[in-house]
Amino acid sequence: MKKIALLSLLAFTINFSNAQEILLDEQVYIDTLPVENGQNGKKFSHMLLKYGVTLGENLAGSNINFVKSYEFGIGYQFKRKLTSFYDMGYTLLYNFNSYSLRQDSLKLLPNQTLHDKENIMTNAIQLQWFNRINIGRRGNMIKTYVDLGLYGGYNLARTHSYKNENFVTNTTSTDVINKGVKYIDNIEYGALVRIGYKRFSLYGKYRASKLIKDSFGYNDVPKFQAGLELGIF
Amino acid sequence: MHFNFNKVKKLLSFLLFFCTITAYAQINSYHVFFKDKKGVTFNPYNYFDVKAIERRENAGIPLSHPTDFPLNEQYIKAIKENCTNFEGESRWLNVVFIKADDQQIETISQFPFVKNISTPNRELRTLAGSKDEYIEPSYDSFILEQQLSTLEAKEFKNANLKGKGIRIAIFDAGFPNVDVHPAFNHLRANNQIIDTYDFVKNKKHVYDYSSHGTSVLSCIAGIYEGKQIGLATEAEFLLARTERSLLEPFSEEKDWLLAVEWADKNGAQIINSSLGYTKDRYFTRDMNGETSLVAQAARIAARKGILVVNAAGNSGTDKWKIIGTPADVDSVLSVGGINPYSGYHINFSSYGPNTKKQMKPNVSALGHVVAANKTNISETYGTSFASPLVAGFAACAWQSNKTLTNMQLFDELQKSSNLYPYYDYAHGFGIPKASYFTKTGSKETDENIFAITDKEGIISIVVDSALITFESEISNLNEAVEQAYMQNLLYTHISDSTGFIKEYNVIKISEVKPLQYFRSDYTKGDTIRFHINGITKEIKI
Repeated sequence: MKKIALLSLLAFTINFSNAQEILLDEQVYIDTLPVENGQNGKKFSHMLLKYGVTLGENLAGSNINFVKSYEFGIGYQFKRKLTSFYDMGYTLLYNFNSYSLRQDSLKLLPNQTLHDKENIMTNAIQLQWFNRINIGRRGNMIKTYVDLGLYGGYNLARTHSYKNENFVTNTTSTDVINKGVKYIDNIEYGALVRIGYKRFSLYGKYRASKLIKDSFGYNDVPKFQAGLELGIF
Repeated sequence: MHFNFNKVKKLLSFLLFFCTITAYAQINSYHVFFKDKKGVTFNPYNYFDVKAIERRENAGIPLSHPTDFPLNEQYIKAIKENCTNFEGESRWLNVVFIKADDQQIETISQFPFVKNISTPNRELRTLAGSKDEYIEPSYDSFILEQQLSTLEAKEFKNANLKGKGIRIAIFDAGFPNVDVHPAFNHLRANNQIIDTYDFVKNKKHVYDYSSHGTSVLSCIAGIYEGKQIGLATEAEFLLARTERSLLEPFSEEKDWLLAVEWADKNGAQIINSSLGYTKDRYFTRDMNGETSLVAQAARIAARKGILVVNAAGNSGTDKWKIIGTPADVDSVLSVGGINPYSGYHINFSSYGPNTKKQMKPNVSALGHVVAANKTNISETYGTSFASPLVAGFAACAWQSNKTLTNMQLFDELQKSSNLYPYYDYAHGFGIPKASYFTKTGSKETDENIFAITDKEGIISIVVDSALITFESEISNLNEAVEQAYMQNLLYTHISDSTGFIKEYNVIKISEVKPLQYFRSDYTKGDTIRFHINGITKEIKI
């Protein structure tokens, strides 16, 4: 394969031999410019992806299935270097949260009706503010760090959905999606921690606000989330 | 939305928990530098190998220099009593390597004999990196032939120059099967491996872990099934494991530093080091030949008469692009890579200069070679392998004239190279040629193959029409390679009055007038140099 590729390259080269062919062209001033930007530069920003699961304590009537509950996010992170070991930054995120409600006799949220699948979901815009402590010496790169921060967001969409299979014919199913449900709060805030190495980080999040409003008489869903973030840089 | 005091309490508890974790006192590695070596005694004849004394005497270097003195034992004792783990010491830099917690390091920092304390680099990588990889179980004999013929290996062989009597230390990530591999039968039979040490594990055995070192050794001295792989097949070797394998990602510069002192003590005349630090710890501005610990150690090694040969690096296509350290040191012979199929710079080979505008790399050799692996031989890429080809070459060259000092040899190696006196920051002075040292077999070069004209503000180069490469049909790889080699290349650069290159090019000659410059584009004092097939001409602006 290598030989075929090489042969093609050389054939291409030779076919254009009548044109003046510059094989190497280096402008040295570009290579010798002081580099002020970069991962460990004054300012650095990048895209990120995150995926996490829900953790914590199930409260009576609002039990969730932890295995099937998750969050996914895509965002843009900006950080500013303040000292050699301390950065401050923020992340603007689109965050999708899905809590799979456990279907058992104890279920109260949002009612006692049992379904084959039932979820409450939010689509949120969130802003994270974080303080980054960089650990160890490093060159122009993001290396080992711990982030401590706060986040807040607005739930653009608050959805309740369920699905029932038709066991008689085994061919059709009933899907119901309720949008803008009132018992899900539209404001969310909390604290977060990240432990990262290069482009990977593990995060933990605690939601201080209630996702399910007290006034409706339901218990809240679990408040902890943890997962993996991937910086795209 | 609701907000109550309980939430705030939980939130604060959460933050406090993680703050506590991060603030927890950890045991870290430190380099503790001492202010002096008061009250120590030193006998070079007890400390150095005979070969090390011989090297110093030949180079006119004093046998007793403060950098060789041992560290003050009282200082070491005080440090040992106040650290968790004592990992080693360096005479050259007057430093000890320790592990200590926050309280211990605070105590140590108060000692009056402590000059400063730094935290070590935690990542050291072979220049194997991602671009050095075995690509085929078999190999192309063309590559094997090229890696030797480009250096004119036959000239050394005919003159019976095989590095005999020259001691080479190799720093690498492991040498698996060097003790059984057929490519090194001759080294074992003649006891040419003088000593070994694994500085990572603190043991003698080095014949395991990464096979990178096995490949590197073969590029200096390997012979497989009667085929020569490197040039210095009769040299003596000191094998040091200073780098860790992929499963042990964290290592420190101290291993390299300890190895270089060990190599000096044991009489190494040449060190081949196919490693480099780049962005993991440093900024490009730090590539000045002075900042890194290994750069400081390499400079001292050169001052003690050792020729340090280091791979330029494999960052040519990365954002980093330039050489790593210790290839950035002015007295280290930095080696770039050449593409065996095209005859010029291989794309991944790192570029110079260093940030002090000193020329790097200094010379080049093939960056795509045939080398030993754990069981036989195969093709592999990287300036890691260009470096040992030149280290082996240097051993043969030194054998041809043992009166040369290391820095005289350094200069001679540059002068022997195919582009000299032309240079650029991709090739240095090009590939060293054995005929320069054997004074045999050198080709007659025709000064008239090209001329420079300077008319009406336009500087042109006019080449002999015989140099023009004409296109032709190719039907197989051999023809393609043959044609690529038949092409004549024009190297050209523009330098300022200090010799610093502003821009440089390599051009395939396909016209009688392949290049023109407008005088008005350049400033007074600039020089434009051209090089074709061994002839260099220049014109000043």
